[in-house]
Amino acid sequence: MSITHNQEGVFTIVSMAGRFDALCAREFKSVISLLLEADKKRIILDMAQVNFIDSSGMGALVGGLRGVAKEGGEIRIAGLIPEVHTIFELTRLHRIFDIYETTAAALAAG
Amino acid sequence: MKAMILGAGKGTRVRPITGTVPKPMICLAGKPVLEFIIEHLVSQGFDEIVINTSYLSDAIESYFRDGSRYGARIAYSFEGALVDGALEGSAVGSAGGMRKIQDFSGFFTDTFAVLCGDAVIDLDLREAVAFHKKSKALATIVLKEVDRSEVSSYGIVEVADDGRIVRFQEKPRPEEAISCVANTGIYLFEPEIFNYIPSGVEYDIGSQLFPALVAAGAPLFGVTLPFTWLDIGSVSSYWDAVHRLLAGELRGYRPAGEEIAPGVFAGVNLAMNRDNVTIRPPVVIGGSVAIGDGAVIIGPTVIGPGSVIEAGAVVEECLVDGYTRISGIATVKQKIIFGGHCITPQGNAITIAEHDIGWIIDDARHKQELSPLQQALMELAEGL
Repeated sequence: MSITHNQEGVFTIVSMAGRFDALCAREFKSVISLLLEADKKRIILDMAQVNFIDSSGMGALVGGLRGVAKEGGEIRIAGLIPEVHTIFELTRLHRIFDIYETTAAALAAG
Repeated sequence: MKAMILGAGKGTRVRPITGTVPKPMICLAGKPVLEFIIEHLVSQGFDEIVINTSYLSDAIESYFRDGSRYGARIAYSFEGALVDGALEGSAVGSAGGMRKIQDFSGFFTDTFAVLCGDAVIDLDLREAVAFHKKSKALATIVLKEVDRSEVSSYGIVEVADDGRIVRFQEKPRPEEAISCVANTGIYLFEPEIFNYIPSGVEYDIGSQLFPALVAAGAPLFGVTLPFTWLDIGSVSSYWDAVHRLLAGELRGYRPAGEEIAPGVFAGVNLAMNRDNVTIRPPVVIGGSVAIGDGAVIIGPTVIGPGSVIEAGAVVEECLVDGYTRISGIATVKQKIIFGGHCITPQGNAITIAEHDIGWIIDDARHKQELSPLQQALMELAEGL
């Protein structure tokens, strides 16, 4: 798993790749903490390269969303591959996140 | 009359459903495709049936046995060998399978039918036989018009005005198709057909025998009759087949079980409080199923026997295999849950074990142990 981020206007795009498991969950949490410390709280998660998510990954996403929302920010999710989207649906996570087909769509949503 | 059913294929295009079940044993609303075919054949006067088997042959042979409970006499032509205690298939092709039976006993002595084991039909076979005899055909193929976008899944034929078949195309691209008339895998033959099928070699009906008949100028005819044809050649056609079956397209079909509400059929030993569950038909529920309070079941849906739909779960347009547990937090929409996989109607599959979703969907007989994190996610989702 690798996590990188870059700024697009008011949004910070966090790009992830590989397996979103327990190992990655720790890295993800620290990235979110650093962004919040830098007052970057409008976040788009580009998950197009994520091919797997387990319950640790889902827990980290929910934890991240809670932390960001507490600071008045938001997390948008973009680019889920069908397999990962299915898991979002099964667990109803798709109801708590704003999900967009692409990063561009997430950016354009205002 | 005599018939042969082709049951030896591996069903690679229906994977992962055919990982554990041979294609003819795939169930439509709880009943194997092959059982539909046998019952239909018997109703049309075909009561001496040989089924060739190879891949997962036991599943077929132990289910139908000698056919007496269907009012038929059924035997099997196994294609393979017992090697080190395990059955190994060695398919000889569809025409090769016919030839093997004929070489074995001379079984085919008069006009006979050969059907693929992967489609449910309500065809008037007597009418097809009448056409076949009137045409003095050596072989007759039952044809069906399909949508041009689907031709690449089928053998396509060109038929002359007199009903003779003049050309074949195997699974053409839509823009190259010579017609939209498809071979349904339902054939009628005269025993003289064996003059055109070599012994002891792999030989296919669609791609070898029929082109050879055309080349030889033998009387090969096609007949188009109105009938429902629910083929399960691929995951998406399987999905469509169940939907069409539940929509009532197959003549004479009624789901098994008791109709507990309009369009809702259930087996015995159902653990469900009907006042606390929302069900929208058509829904077919197998025996010994438990459905918890607050669950929502939206049809067309099939829930296999022994399954547990926990309180609060939402199951919408799903084909759920037997012994499946669906967690109360789950929203399962347009999925096939089968053999440890969660499959979309397009055939994309995720493996339940690999993707760590056993805490949401699992075999109902597994002992369930949730990690603290899964427990927390469960509680979160319950509020959604």
